[in-house]
Amino acid sequence: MTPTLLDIHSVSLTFPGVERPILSNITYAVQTGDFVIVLGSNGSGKSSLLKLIDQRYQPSSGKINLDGKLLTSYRDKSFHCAVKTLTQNYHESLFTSLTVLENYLLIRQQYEPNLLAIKTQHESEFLQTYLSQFNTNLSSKLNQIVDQLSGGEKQALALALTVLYPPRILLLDEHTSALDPKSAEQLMSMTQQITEKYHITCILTTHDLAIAEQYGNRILALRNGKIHHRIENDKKQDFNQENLLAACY
Amino acid sequence: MMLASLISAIFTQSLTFLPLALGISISYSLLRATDMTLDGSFVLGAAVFARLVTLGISPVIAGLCALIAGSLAGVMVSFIQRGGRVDPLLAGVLATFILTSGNLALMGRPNINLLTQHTLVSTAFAQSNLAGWSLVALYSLSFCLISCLLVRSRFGLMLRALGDNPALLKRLGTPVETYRLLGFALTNSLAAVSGILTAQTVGYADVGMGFGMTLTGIGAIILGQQILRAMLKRTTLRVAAEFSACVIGVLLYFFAMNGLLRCDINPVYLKMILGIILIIFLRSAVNPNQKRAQS
Amino acid sequence: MKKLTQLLITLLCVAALASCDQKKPSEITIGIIEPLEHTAMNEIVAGFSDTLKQLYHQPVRIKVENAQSDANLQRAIIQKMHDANYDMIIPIGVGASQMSLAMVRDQPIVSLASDLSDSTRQQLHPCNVAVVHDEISAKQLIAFVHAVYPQLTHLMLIHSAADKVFPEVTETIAAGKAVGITVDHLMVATLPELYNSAQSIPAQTQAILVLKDSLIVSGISTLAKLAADRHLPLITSDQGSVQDGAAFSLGVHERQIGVEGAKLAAAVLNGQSICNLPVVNMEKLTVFVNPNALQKDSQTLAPIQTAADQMHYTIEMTKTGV
Repeated sequence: MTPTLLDIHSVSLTFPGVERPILSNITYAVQTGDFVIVLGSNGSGKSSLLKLIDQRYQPSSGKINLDGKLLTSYRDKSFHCAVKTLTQNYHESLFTSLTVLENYLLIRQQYEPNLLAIKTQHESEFLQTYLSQFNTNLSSKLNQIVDQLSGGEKQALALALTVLYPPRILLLDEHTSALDPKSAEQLMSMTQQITEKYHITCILTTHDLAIAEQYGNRILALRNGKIHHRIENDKKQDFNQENLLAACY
Repeated sequence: MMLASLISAIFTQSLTFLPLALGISISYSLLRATDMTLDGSFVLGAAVFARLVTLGISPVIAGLCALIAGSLAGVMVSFIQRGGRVDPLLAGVLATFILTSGNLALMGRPNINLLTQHTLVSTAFAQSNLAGWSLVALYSLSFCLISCLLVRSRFGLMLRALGDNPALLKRLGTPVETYRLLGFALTNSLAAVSGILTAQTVGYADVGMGFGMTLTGIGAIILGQQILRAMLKRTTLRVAAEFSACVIGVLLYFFAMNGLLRCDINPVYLKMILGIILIIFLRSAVNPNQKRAQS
Repeated sequence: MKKLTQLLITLLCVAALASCDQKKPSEITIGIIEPLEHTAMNEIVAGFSDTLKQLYHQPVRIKVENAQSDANLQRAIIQKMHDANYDMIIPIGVGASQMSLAMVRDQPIVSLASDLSDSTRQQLHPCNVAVVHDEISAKQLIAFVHAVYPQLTHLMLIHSAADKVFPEVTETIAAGKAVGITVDHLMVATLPELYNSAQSIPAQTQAILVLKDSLIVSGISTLAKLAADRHLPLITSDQGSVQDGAAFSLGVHERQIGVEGAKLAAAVLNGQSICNLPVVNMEKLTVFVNPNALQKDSQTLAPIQTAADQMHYTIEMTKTGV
């Protein structure tokens, strides 16, 4: 059996002044290599769950372990290298007023503290090849400001930069929902290729049952902050849209 | 003849204002923080310089001390803001409070006369006006150039990233507070440079001399940006363009002010007319772009 | 390209306009710089213009420009007067005077209501300035207060953080000490603070004193009410504040500053060397009295009358009383 990577143990989340808990008593374990799909209607607590894993929120009770150690026991920097988030809002993952190359350099300096030692010429050659895997247009736009890219290009860039140094866990919070169906489809299949290639464990929230059916190997359905239904890998036959619809809504 | 003197008036007035405007531009466009302390740091530079010079200290050392004092003012603001516990605008207001009485305490009185003092530029001005202003230009432009290079460097990249997305920069493991501190130190010492140069060219340091300077600066910079955007047909400006916008804006502001004054327009109406001209100008300059975007 | 042309056209228009301020060669032009909008400034200017007309009979054009507390604008105004070769520049106040001296080396300057000392003036190369001081000395002021109220021992001085007030505060305290008056002082940085700060003046205070301090004077009605409530005389150092509710003041007619300035200007225009003209101190002091306010403060006119007569000051009742 594969070791447990992420262990969520009876976690609840309440906000002061809000009566109903956002999440209550969630227990769930994620193994290395999982592609977990979190389904649920708006307000079911999907995004909050990701924010707890990302440490943007702290649980009101319960605990979350990563590799058997409490999340809070990790140093900031090593935690943010291990767990990365991508949302539909690319503003959160990119410096939108800077160029593509500058964005890359800033990610690079996380692992290469001596920024001055980075040679721009050398890096831009590498970046061109690297980006061409994600989006063929991007590699010719190194000196363009991110704001001037198209929506699909921005999301592709955000994904490319997020996995430039592959994290242990990639949290995807409806990262395709702002795109048109074709771009969303492209981005989703690219996400799958990349996570397989780099053995990244993925937790993805979505409303799109088709995505859940096609990409997920485990499904977690939330309703009103509680686990409503779960489908595991060995019951893949349950992965049909009717079942899923019944599970969530 | 009149045109020549108008041009020289515009340039001489712009020269001492330019470092402050650059400081405002860095804080406004790159760090995305409207730092209200810059008024205070402008006076602080003038105050420290004037006080030390009248105490008989060499103008070079006095200038350096004033520069350091300016950067310390920036450090103070970033400490007040630290960790986002105090709203940036409020932090600026608080720092300005502290600086207002601090400047008065430093100077010992509200106004120090530098007319008969030996300053950084007094010898050059004694030779000729041209020599004096060339020296002022040398000081002003070299500080502007240094900060321009700084902002274009990797250090500047961090500052721009900080202004763009501080949360992301923090997640990347960058000590954002350190960069915020350095950024504010840079902008406030630029304001101090302006103060030092202004005090020497107008002959005095005064606790009230910074009144409205930041607002004028922001106005001039926005003007410059709009014009440059319209001319370049771009919505976002790169670093070099931001600096050019700053220079263009400052020159235009002083051009308009001096031009209108020389037309015998009563200064009481000057700002109103200036405002109206700018509105007409901006509307005609920006409109075509918007029409294109809508269609 | 279209926009570039627009820009150029706008620039050219302004440039064309810029050359419109042509000075007639035969006419004498004098530029007066008011640093901010203030009634006192207008009085000074009126005094100057009227007197100069009487003393100098050639055609004179007087241009008055107001900088509205904007240092950039003040600088542009002085620069313009310099570039247009004005025959004389008259800055009013400390800051405008220092700025004019720093920027103008080759035109005569008559500095009004400034604190420029004769020794500073002699150090300038070339020395191109004549000066009219407007401050009555702290000694004179305290001596008068002492003459009016010989029994007075505790005086409250309320002042702002503004230009030139600081040395006067020190002098006033020293002058008070010399005649046995303890001068407590209270600094008020902004007008809204005035009411609250003034409430806290100590109980032993016997009179409130205000110098020629524009911030405090602009809030004089607040102090007038306090003075009436506490039955204390409110003594000031200018004409306007008495009109607005102070009991009495020892000061000069603002107009008189302009008159003295015009005498210096006429002397320079008639060819006298500017640097040899003496620094003029305002000597003709006037006691301004507001009978209504005096009554409200529970004071009488008699001691003021006696003191004024004794010290040979003219006494003047204000017409518009509160």
